[in-house]
Amino acid sequence: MTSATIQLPAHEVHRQALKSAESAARMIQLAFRRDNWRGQSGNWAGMGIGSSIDFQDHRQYIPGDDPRYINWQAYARTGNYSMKLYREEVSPQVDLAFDASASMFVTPEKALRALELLYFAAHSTFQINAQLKAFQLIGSQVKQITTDALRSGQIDFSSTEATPLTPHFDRVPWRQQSLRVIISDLLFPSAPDAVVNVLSSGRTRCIVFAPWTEQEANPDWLGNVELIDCERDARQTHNLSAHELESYRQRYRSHFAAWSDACRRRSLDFARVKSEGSLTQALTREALGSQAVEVIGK
Amino acid sequence: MNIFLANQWGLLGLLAIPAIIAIHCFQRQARPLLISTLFLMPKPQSESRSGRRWEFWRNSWAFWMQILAALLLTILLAQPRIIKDDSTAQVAIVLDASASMSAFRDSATQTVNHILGDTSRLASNTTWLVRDSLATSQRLYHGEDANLLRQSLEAWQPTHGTHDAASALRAAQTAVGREGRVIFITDEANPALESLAEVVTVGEPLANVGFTGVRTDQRDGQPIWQAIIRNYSDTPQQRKWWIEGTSGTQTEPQNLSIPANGVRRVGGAFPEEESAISLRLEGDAFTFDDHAPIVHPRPRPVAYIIRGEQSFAEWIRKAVARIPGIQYGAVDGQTDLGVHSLTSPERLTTLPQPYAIAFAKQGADVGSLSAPQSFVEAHPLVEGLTFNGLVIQREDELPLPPSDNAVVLVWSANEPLIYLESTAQGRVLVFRFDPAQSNLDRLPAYVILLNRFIATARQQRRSPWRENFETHQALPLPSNPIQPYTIQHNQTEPLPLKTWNAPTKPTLFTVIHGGDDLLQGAARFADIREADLRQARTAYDLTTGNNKVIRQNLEDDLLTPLWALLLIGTMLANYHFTGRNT
Repeated sequence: MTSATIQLPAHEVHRQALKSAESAARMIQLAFRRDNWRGQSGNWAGMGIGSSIDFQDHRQYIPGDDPRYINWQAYARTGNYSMKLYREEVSPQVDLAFDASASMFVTPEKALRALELLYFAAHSTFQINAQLKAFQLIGSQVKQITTDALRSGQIDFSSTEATPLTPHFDRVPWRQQSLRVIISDLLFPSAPDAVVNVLSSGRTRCIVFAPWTEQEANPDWLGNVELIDCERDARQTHNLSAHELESYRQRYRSHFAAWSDACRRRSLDFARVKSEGSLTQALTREALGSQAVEVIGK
Repeated sequence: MNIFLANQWGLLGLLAIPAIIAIHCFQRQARPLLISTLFLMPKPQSESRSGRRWEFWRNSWAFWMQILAALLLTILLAQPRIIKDDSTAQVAIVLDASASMSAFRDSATQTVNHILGDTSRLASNTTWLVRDSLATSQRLYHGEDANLLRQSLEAWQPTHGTHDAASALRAAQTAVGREGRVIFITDEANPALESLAEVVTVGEPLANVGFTGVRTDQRDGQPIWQAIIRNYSDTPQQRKWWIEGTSGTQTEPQNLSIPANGVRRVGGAFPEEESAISLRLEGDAFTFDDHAPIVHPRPRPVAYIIRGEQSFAEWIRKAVARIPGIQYGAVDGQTDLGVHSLTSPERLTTLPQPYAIAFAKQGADVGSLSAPQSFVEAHPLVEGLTFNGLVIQREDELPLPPSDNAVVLVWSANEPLIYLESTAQGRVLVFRFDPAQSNLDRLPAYVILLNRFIATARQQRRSPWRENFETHQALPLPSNPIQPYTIQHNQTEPLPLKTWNAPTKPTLFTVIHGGDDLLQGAARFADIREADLRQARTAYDLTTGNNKVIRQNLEDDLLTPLWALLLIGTMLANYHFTGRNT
């Protein structure tokens, strides 16, 4: 956060967002079940061979194999060593990146929804004991968010650095085969494909949550207005007509249509989450259909 | 279809139009908006520049709706009315005939044009009557043709002195009827006349300098003249003045400084061989008093005879000695006046002279002295005179009783004391007491009465004379002329003398009778009240009268509800186009 014109969310807002996220996370979670996971042992079936009770396959013994998994009964019948292979149980790895630019907090509604999404993603991860690494992209820095901070709702977004035009997603230490969760309003002029390429690299799945507000989608800025960019203090004075406003709305829709297309091409789950209304309603309405989230228990 | 605005102040609503234009050129103060999507904003079609409060006018629906609303509001406020096709109006325009209006003649003419324009709009047919403010004047115009009315103004001659216009205004009101309008055009407000007419004043305060009075006299047997020049202003004035002779000679103009509200005297002797001169003053707006013609007066002789005792004759001679021009005995074979001492009333009807004065002849010891209480009748000969204090010798019955045709001038109780008897030869002034047995010669009223009566006798004398007059003054010409009188101004051709009055403008003139010069006169403007132009003002307000005619002749605009609905619709449309509904 660099702009002096934007008020960072107060502690009370964090608490409210945390409570709302916990409530939503009891019914909805990130779409963990859509994928086979690799990684450390855990509660989720992995892609590799493990020590679970689920039989998977046989193969020839190779020196060095763990003798505990030699199929002695088959050896008795055939005289050859063969191995019994069981499915691996892993703990999913989740890399969470939160765009902490000023635009995420431009209105109280949007700030609350952005924090709700952050805490929702974190608590979804906590509920399945996944390995979570969370980062905030603030200025040109990528700062890790501690698990304690995510659990307690005490995250510091303050920064003295200028906000870059595009968040530095490429500086996030993404882990291979992790579930990448991006929370960003995507309001920067960079081409979506360049960013999507970064997010989709490394044989991984990625979910993008983009909070938005009705005010930015359908503004009522008719007449003489001084438009102040919330991140760079740039100012433009316009005398906006209805025609010009309609042109803006068209550009806004095109901007997110481009993001949606880019994500679909690279198999990223893309969900725009409206800031108005409750988090549960917003996720159910806008993220469930795009399979960015799933209902717990189904 | 004539349309009139019942409330012209409503046109002030048009001021809203420049105000709206200005507002649309005035940038609304930009609302600061903190946004996150500035990069998505299109390039503005009309970009405001920071620091500029004014910008070129922007076309918009809201602008045209507001202009239309202003026009409709103006229509509603101005209250357009339609003049009835059968409406008529009678308007009398009374022009002040006093001489001061001559300084503002052009303004008065323009004002008449304004009145024509204002009043003609208020009715389909307007009849105008134009006259001046003299009670005895005829109308200058009566009709419906404005052009002929304007031409008739040339006959308007504001040359008279101060006079009361009330009679003329009442006559004008009678002529146009109760519903008609009377508009009085003058140069000085007179609240007393505002109940009789709508008063319109023209002109402006002016500094005027002019001759206020002249007199002639004799010094060392030489005729001399004197004139007073007055400055009717609050600032010192400089003028040039000179003398013109009847033969075309002219003196060199001389500078004259007159202090504020002050006077200067000029004078001199009449030139040799000149019996008349003209004093000229450098012209100003009021020209009547810039010219003062003067003649060296020479009165007509009055020839009189006395018939009575020696003592009576001496008494009479002593009384008439100071009357100028009177001569004892016949002049040119003609006697104008006889003074008689009579005892018999029958003699009154046989007196030979056309004018006679008869006194009763009484004995010294007849009757007793009496101081009768006298009463004076209303007659020009005794107007303003009193004979109280007269002591006469009283008999039981006064002698020389009047006939039935006599006009009593002075009464003593219920008995005529002095009367005027008409005879076949003329008129006899009869005193019913013996002047030698009274103190009559000590009464000023007697001297004045004698002068007035002798003046009437002199008036009938057909002898050439010279005299100074005021403009418009009645000329004492002999009645019943053998041939019509003609008048000649300066060296122009003689014209018939229509009215026996001095010319209306200052000039030297000659009245001719039978080819002979009878009167050489000088007419001079002498009403100093007209020369002071400091109170002149311009005031034109016919609103009250116009509104009265409007109420009589105009129909309401039936489209008013439509204008109101259109205004409401326009305002709603404006509300829509300004985007406030969103």
